[in-house]
Amino acid sequence: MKRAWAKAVIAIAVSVATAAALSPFSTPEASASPPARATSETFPVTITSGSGKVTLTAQPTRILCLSASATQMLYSMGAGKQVVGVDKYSTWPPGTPRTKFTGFEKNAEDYLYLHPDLVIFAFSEGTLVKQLQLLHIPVLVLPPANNFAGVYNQVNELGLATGHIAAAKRLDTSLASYVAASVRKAGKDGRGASYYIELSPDYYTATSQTFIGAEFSLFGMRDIADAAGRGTAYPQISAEYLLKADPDYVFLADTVCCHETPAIFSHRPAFSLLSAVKQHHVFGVNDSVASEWGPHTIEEFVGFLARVLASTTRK
Amino acid sequence: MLEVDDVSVALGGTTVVSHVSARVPHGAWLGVVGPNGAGKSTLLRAVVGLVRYEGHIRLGGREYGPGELRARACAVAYVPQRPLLPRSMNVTDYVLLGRSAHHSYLGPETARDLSVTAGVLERLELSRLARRALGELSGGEQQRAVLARALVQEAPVLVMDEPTTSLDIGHAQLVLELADQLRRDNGLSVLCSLHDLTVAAQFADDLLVLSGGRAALLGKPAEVLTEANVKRFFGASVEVLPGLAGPVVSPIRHASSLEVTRAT
Amino acid sequence: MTLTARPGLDRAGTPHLRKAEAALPGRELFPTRLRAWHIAAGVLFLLCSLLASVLVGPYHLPPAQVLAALASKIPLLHVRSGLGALGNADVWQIRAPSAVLGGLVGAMLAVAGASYQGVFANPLADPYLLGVAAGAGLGATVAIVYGPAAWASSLSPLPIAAFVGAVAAVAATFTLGRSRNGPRSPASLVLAGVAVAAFFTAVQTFIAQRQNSGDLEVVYNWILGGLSTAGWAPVELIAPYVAVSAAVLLACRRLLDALSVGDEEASSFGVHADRARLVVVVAATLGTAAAVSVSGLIGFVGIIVPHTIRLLAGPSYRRIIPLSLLFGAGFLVLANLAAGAVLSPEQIPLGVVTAFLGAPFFLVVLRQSRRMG
Repeated sequence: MKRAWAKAVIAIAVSVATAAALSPFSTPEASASPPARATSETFPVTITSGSGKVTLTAQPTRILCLSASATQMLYSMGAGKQVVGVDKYSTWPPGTPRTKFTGFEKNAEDYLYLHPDLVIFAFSEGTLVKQLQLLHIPVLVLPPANNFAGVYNQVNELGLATGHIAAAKRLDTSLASYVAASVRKAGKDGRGASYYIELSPDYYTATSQTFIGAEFSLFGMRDIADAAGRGTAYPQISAEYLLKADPDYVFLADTVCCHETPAIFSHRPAFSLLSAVKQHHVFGVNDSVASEWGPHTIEEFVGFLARVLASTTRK
Repeated sequence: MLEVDDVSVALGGTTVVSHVSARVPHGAWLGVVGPNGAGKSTLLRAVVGLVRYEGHIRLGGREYGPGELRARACAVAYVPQRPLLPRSMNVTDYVLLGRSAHHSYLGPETARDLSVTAGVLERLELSRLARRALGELSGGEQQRAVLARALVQEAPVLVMDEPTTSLDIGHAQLVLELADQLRRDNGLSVLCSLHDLTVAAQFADDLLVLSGGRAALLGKPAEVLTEANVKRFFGASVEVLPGLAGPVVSPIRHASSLEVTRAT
Repeated sequence: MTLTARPGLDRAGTPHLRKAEAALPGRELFPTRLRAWHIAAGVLFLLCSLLASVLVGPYHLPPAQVLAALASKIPLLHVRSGLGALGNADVWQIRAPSAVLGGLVGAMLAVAGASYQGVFANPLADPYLLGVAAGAGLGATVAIVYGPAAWASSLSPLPIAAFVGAVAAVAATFTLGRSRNGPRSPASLVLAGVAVAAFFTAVQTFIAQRQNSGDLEVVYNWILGGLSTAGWAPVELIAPYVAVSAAVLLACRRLLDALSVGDEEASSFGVHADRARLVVVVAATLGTAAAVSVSGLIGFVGIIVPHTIRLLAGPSYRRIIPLSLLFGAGFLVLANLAAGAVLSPEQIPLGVVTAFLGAPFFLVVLRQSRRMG
């Protein structure tokens, strides 16, 4: 699945990937593929996403968005009025038409009562997508982004699909400049600092190859899990590994699922020896920072990181 | 017609049956007797094709290879000594198993399957028990069900291994009389092993005495069952009396052991 | 001594029999024969459940129009479908294929369960006994994690990988279950199955645990089982396997009865017990592997359906096998309908529904039959 997604991304935006990967916070303006007209006259459009080519004959007005990140993108670019339903994990912005859907329904027929004219997924096992295709309902699959280029690219795709091309570009620009400003604010405090991002109390973590890893990399931080991430971007390490690596910062992204707090973390056996614990560099964050790549989540987390780095000192 | 020609059987390297020859013509009854471990059951199982053997066994003039179970089952039927009776299976289903070699795989039971089964059930007075589970039947009823299963095979040769082991004297008589009537009516060749020498003599045309896997004697019951032969092959002290249907073999106890029994 | 204990011939029999039964010799003599009305009842049950699952769905379509749409496909009957493009696509590309798929999978699991119970003389034997489930699970996980995207090709690689995994696991069971001298005994096969299943499950868990949450969710979704399908491809994929396997098992229905008297006696009336067991196990396993490859692991069908039929129609496989096919199919189609309808629009995992519906019903039947017995 991941491999195919990667192929698809390369197919849509080779230029975006190469230009933006080198410099994560350059604005993607130069590489945007669609023409810069942003009205319904641009339809029909053909978009290649994770589910293959999809053609939208008219501007969609009944969007069902089953990806919390895509929901953030849609509402941030002003396409919210076209949305008739979002999944149960879409918590931002408030006031969206939330449903019980998860995006892992067994039967696409469940969605039909909303009469959607575009359905957006983050994940798909294929059956749902195929069912919707058989029902002649366009589908976009926007799988988890691994870096900023992927985020900008998805924003552009959504802009193209919803008829908000210019607004999508503006969203990219403002996100990129917010990120750049945050990095400037943090100064050189993060350079070389090591960190551990915890996804669950049994030491599942993320390497720098993930999107959250890319956010840390912006500040020049170093992921202690990189050495453990052989073959997977989400390795499981051990307490011993953690003690040995002794990161400068610890971020707990399991505060919602597993009710972890810095206090509980510090009381795990032998963890009082960790530099991060001694220096009070253990921070709880919302779980969604590790699983979402929407502009709102990004701004919150990048802003939070900048504040943390600016306000703490390392020995 | 059954012909056993120089048959030997080795089980696990030990020769259990050695160079036995015998012949059971159409409508005849050959009784097999012998002490425990003489190879009676093994000989019978060789005839049915359940053990590998050397020599020739011809059923109706034809020899059957080890893979020809289906064809062989149409030529010889078998009543085992200790049949395994699935307790919840009903009598009809059990008897119908005997038709396995006759019906096609996919089709339903044919009219002939049903009429043969119905006939045999009627003949063995099992019709009224047809719906009953085997586990609910008495020993005699169970034995009749086993006999019925063998008979619906419609094989011209019937092999019975101690068919009366678990039966009282009345039911033993009943089952053997039935088999004998069927032999007469249908011209079956019967090969039957029995422990009770008197009963064996009453039903058999000829008796085969096995001893140590060899055919020690083969002849008319009156010739075979002499006091000397019984002493020699069974190690038993008996008195052989002339009976209405053949020799009556009556065990003798020594006076000294009788005394002991009375005292206790 | 022997004269005192005389179980009478006359003790059993006459008083228990009613005269009416005696007047019906055929029924009286052949109480467990498969009768036309059994088949008719099974077919009717299956057709009704198929129809219900085409008529009812999370998206409301007027039943009259759906019926018209169904009738429009009958040749020579000139009825026009009352449904629009969306409704037509829904009925013909989603509801109808998933109902038919449910029928195929349910029939296969039920008949395979019945066959395994006969072969292994174990009432708790289910179609997953020899490692089919674990093998299919590993195959599916590998396909989900390492395979190309499911939507990239017209036919998803998942069922093929699951099928290959299932067959590999059972082949391993057969290889390991053969004792050094002599043929495979049912007991050693079952034990080998346990070992193989444990090993395959361990590998599957290892691979699944190293993935991100999206892939993991797809894996667990598959394991929980379901019949949602898009179009007819999965039906076309498994129908030949199910058909061949069901035909073989039907042909072996009497052999399964014969196995219950032991190998030697079975040979005496012309049944190769070893060969019969091998044929039945191979057919049931291949069919199950095919079914599982598209449906995931749906439990209980292979146990509950054959046992219910056994309790209602008697212990003969001459009835159990054909009736398991029909009622297993209908049961799973109905269970799938319930899975979608109970908490609509939320879908309950199908395996949960089969257990939830099947277990209490089975217990009722069990209690009834005990009382009668």
